[in-house]
Amino acid sequence: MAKPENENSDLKPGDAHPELRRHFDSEDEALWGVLGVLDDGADKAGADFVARTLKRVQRSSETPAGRLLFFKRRSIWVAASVAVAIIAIVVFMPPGSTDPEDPRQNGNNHVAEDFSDVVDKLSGMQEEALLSLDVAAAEDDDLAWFGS
Amino acid sequence: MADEYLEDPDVKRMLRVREGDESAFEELVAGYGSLLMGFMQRFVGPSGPVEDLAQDVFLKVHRAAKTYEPRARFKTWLLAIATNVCLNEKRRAARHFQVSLDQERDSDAEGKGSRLSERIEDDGSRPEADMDMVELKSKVRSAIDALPDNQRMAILLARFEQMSYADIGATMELSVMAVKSLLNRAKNNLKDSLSREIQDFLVLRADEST
Repeated sequence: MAKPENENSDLKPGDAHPELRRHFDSEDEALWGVLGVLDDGADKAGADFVARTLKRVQRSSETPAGRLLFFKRRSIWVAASVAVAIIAIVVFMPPGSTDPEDPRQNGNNHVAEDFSDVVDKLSGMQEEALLSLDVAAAEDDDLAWFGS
Repeated sequence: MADEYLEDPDVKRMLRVREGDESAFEELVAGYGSLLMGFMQRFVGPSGPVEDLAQDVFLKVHRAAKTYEPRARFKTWLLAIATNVCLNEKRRAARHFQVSLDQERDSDAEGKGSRLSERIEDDGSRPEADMDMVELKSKVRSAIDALPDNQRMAILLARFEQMSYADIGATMELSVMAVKSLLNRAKNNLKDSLSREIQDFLVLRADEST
């Protein structure tokens, strides 16, 4: 254990440094003696003090690194969760199906069905248009025939 | 780096701490713990956060280790840090009105008093003498507490750490002349407030010598 270094190891507790003592009068000496009543009042650091201090120092010195580690760990957890979610989607998502009756395609079936309806309607309109053209042509022919 | 301080074994320890030797730091905490606790207690009073403050000092020492350069004896450097910690604590306490020096003194006296009463019942020691000592301590503490911070610090370093003018100056970042002036004012103030106790001490000493 380190002992506090004293440049004047001859000094007893309560002694004044020789430099100071050189200027002391009897009242100064007495004052030094009176102040001595506080000599034994000071707390002595127990063995626990060393342990508690070292623990606090360790905790304090680890804080920045600990925080970084915490963020790193959290980032790792977030990244891992995202990766697991992506893997789950890839593994469990069924291969593309065009069967509108396939219940796994529910999400897309509405679009497909709507699209089919549109195509059907367009086809019907086209047919009607063609039919009306045919009718018109036939009428022209009739008129032409009557006219002629 | 000043080679003159390399003879100080605690400076050597601190240099080992700088190199990452935690066992050297533990040696310093073990070696200077009591000194710091005593220093803190005399400055902020026994009911102040003495241990927390002492730990704060060691925390600062540990944090400063990486850039440590020996420019003073270790004890001087340590007490310079302790001085700043104490003064900051005083300012903080004054700002927040958390600690009343009067309460400190009262609780100190009451604490000792209760322990005294236990001792009277236990071993029948002389309570009057103990009570005198409690009163004397309380009065001395009051006188020291009444000093301005810089005078109090100077007298504590001189009286309880047995420092030279130069070391006190290094600790408080003052010139030797300023320290001498500060100590003279502190001594005069204490002589005024403790005049009766000083006379009693002188009489007692005269009696002992005859």
